[in-house]
Amino acid sequence: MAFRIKIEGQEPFDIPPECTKSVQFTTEIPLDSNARTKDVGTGLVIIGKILAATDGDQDDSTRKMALWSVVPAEKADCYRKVTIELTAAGVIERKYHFPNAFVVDYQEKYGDVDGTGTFTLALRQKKDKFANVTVEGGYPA
Amino acid sequence: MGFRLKVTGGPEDIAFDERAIVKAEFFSDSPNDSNARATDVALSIKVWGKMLYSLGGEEADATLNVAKWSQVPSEKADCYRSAQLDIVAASQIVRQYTLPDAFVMEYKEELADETGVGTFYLHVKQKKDQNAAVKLDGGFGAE
Repeated sequence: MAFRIKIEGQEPFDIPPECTKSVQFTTEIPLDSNARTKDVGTGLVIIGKILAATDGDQDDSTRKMALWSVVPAEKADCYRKVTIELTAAGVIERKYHFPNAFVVDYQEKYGDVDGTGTFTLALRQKKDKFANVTVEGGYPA
Repeated sequence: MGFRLKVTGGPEDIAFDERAIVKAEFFSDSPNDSNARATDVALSIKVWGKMLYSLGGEEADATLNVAKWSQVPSEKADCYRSAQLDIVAASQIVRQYTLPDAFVMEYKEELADETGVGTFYLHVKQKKDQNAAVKLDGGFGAE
């Protein structure tokens, strides 16, 4: 199982598969609604590792998520296109596409007992653009 | 993986290195229920570490100065200080967070007669109207 995550904005970048540990996709619906609501939101949570570059490799792109998380709301660049593909055994099991995603929370954690850091990126789709989110899957990679 | 924290802008500079800090976190926090990107973003750093009392009083006790910083009243200019946290691994600065107008949100010291050293927890936040001044660097060489 491997994740390929692509983030497209002013400065596009990928989150490499060796960094990503888990992905959560949620559809958020008010729990007290009496009938099908119009107020549906959707979000993604990506958890992964922050790797230090060795042997003169390029550093991983995790810092670009940190920079995205501080883009102010006044800038168009705070909304970016996010595509996540989950590949297992030659099949794209899931492909999530969020064309207007923004950062809700971003966190980086480090400890002296782990060799690497951990990031948690929480995203949501801009609510009025909810209809543009696509979830696909089940076709060969 | 080592962590170094430097706080400048007070009467005395505060510095911790990898001997003292055991855990560090960076947060970029905005309301979770917002329908679009919010302006209300909080940028903060949390650091956990050991209180290493200096043998023979040779070095300045950094935790003492942090404790004093956490008590500075809001009327004084030096309640805002510049905090810089470095994450160092494999001769690389993996991250360098700079919060130039940081204030103390939480500070806690725990001392007990069983452990040889005490532990501290420091949570600092950038003054919210100065969020644009925060710098998130990384990916360059370190000694």
